[in-house]
Order: sequence, then C-alpha cells, then structure tokens
Amino acid sequence: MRELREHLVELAEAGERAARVPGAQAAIGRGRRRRRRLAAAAAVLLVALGGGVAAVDRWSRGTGMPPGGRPRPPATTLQPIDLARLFDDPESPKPVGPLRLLAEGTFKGRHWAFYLFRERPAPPDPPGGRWCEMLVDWAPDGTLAGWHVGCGLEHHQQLRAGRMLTVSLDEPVENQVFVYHGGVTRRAARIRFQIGDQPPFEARIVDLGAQFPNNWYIAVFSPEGGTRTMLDRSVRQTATVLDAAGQTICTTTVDPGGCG
Amino acid sequence: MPAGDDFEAFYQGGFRRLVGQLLVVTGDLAEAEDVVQEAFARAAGRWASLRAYDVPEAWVRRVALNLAANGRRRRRKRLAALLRLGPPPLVPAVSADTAAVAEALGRLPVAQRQVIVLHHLLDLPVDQVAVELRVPVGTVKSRLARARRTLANQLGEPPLQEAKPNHA
Repeated sequence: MRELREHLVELAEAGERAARVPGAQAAIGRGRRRRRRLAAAAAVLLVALGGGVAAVDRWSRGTGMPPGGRPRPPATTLQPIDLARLFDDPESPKPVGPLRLLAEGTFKGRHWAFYLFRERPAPPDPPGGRWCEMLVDWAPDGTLAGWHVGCGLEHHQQLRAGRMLTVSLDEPVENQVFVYHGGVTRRAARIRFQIGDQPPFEARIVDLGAQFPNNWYIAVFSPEGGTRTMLDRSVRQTATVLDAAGQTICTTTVDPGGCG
Repeated sequence: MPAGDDFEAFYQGGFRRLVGQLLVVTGDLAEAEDVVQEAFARAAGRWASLRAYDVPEAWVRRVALNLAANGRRRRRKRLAALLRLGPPPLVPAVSADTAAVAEALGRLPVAQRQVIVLHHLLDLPVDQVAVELRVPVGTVKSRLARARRTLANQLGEPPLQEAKPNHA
C-alpha cells in the first residue's frame, strides 16, 4: 500500500474538486440567522426563568420521557409512536413494527438505549425493508441529547467465507460509550468480551432472518472513567465466540479481521 | 465590522481546501460541505477579530472539526450512520486503494480521524495537533497509535510507520 499520506491527499483533493461552494454570502446569511436563533432562545430562557415557568421539553413528549428530572428507562418493547418525533425528518428511515430494545444503560447520568427495527421498504431497497439500528441518548435532565440511525445491517455485516466473527468498534457518545458489533456465525450462542481488567461482558446476538446468512451482534460498553481511559492506554481487548455447549469456536483480539 | 470583500476572498480561498480535509474526517462530501459552511458562517460573525489572526483558516478548520465530531449535530442534520452502516458514503471517485483507506477511516472514532488529518494530511507535528484540538500531547500520540494500528489491521498491512522522527 502506498503511504497513508498519499491516500489522504488523493481523497482530500478529490473532495476539493467535487466540493459545491454555496458562497460567502450564503455563509454570512447563515451566520446571521444562527445569531438570531441564539438571541431568540436566550430571550425565551430569560422569560422562562423570570416567570418561573416549568418548561416542558418538546422531545420529552415524543419520547415518553418525563419533562425534566431523571429519564425514565425505556420499556422492553417500544412502539414506533413512542419515538415518532425522531422519524419526522423526511430523510429518516421509517420503521415498520415495534422497535426492539437491544441494550440500554447509564453513564454519568446520561441514559442511552439501542434499538433495532425494520425499515419500511422503498425501492430500490429489498422488498422486506432493510434492518436498521438506532442509538438514542438522553442528557441527565431527561432531554434528548442525540441519536443515530444506520440501516443496511444485512448488507454490511455479512461474514466472508471462513470467518466466524467480525468486530467493528465505534464511540457514538464521546468518551462514554463504546459499541462493538458485527457479524457472527449462526453456531455462536454467546460472545464474551474482555476489555483489560474490566469485568467481562457479553454481546447480544440478533437473528436477522433466514435470508441473512449469519447472525449479528451488539455489545455496548461504558468503562468507568470514560472511554478515553482506554484510548490513552494500551488495553488488551478480546472477543471469544462460544457455542451452545460452551465450547470456544474462536477467540480474537478486538480486530475488524475477526476470527474464523 | 461586517464581513465584506476580504471575507469573500478568504472564503473563496479556503472553502474547497477545507472541504477536502473535512471529507477525510466525515467520509461524506455533503457533510463535509455542511460543517465547513457552518464554520465559515460562524467566522463571518467574528470576522472583525478573526481577520487579524495569522492564520484565520486554522480557526475555521478547528470549528469545522469540532462540528464534525459533534454527534448531536450530525445525528440531527442527516442521520449519519452509526458505525459503517447505511448506504455507502458520498465520496468522490478515487482509486480503489484510497477508497479502501477511506472506508477504513470511516470505522475509526472521529477523534482518531481528526488526528490523522492534522498529523498525516496537514503534516502538523504532534504538539501542534494537541494545540489545535486542545488535548494533551499524550492523547494525540495514543490516538495516532491506535488509529494506525486499526488501519493496518483493517487494510491487512503492517502497522503504518512514522515518516518523521519528531512525530509521535
């Protein structure tokens, strides 16, 4: 492979050539509108504080969260209507059927929950619709802090021949949550993760259906002290795939190459 | 002082270059354009003071990098895929090797992509990267090491080596 820098330069130059330039006047106008919005928000806040108004966060109505205060843990299965506001965006994939809660937890007062759902099909997507995952996190005051949606699990998590496990890692909530996920053989009954000297934890294995050649899994990890503590040190991370009898199918350091 | 002709020149001179750099971080051209435009919008409001900076473009780049790392904004703006899900990112045509590198970059945490851009693309030394991102030098070094190891694993290559002895 060529030097990393050469690839980065090629990519950056391609972006430079392809960039659409809205123009300086558009930027100036956008900045002006942003300052107006901030000023208006500050004015509303002052009115609310001055009048002792108990402001109700608009997201709390849409997500079933109590206004202010501590977030209420999501129910085991949430109907789409509970999170309907998250799907208002016209670009958002629209769920069919209930959202499946895969994992949830708290970290420093923030509450997060991870869902799986099937997208309403729209050509040229497959007839059954794509599988999507969604992470939602709430700030300590119960307001919605953010959310991610990604679709196409059935396409992206297929195992190559001979592989038993692949591992992808991301940090969707800065310094708070690591997500491990990937494809895993249908023979797997359990996947155990060991991160440094932290207590081991297991992934949730998800069967995406007969047309999907392997299963999918997810494990969410919030280390004490934040994920940055792991980035700053060399921490050994291993994943072990076990079958229903508890026999090891394969084990690997956490590595996208996985094991097989 | 309202942003005027010199802001226009500053914008025209830097917009495309910054989009190219941010594309490496975001993996998505539209998102790179959006965060750079937003950064310039914020610069426009501060142009009276920014124009006196030695390198005002560095300020815009830092804002754009922060915006790219701001999950909340990204999530609300365009439902960015968690991990590497969803349709392939909108990346301009590049060679197959570079496309593989871009895909591998997309699997790194954004904080690691930021240091990769600043150190390996812009050739900033580690201490300068630390200043730009406002994090300790040790953090930059560990992010670089981790990113290089992950990229090497993903690309099936030996770990990427440093080209310059004064870097991490």
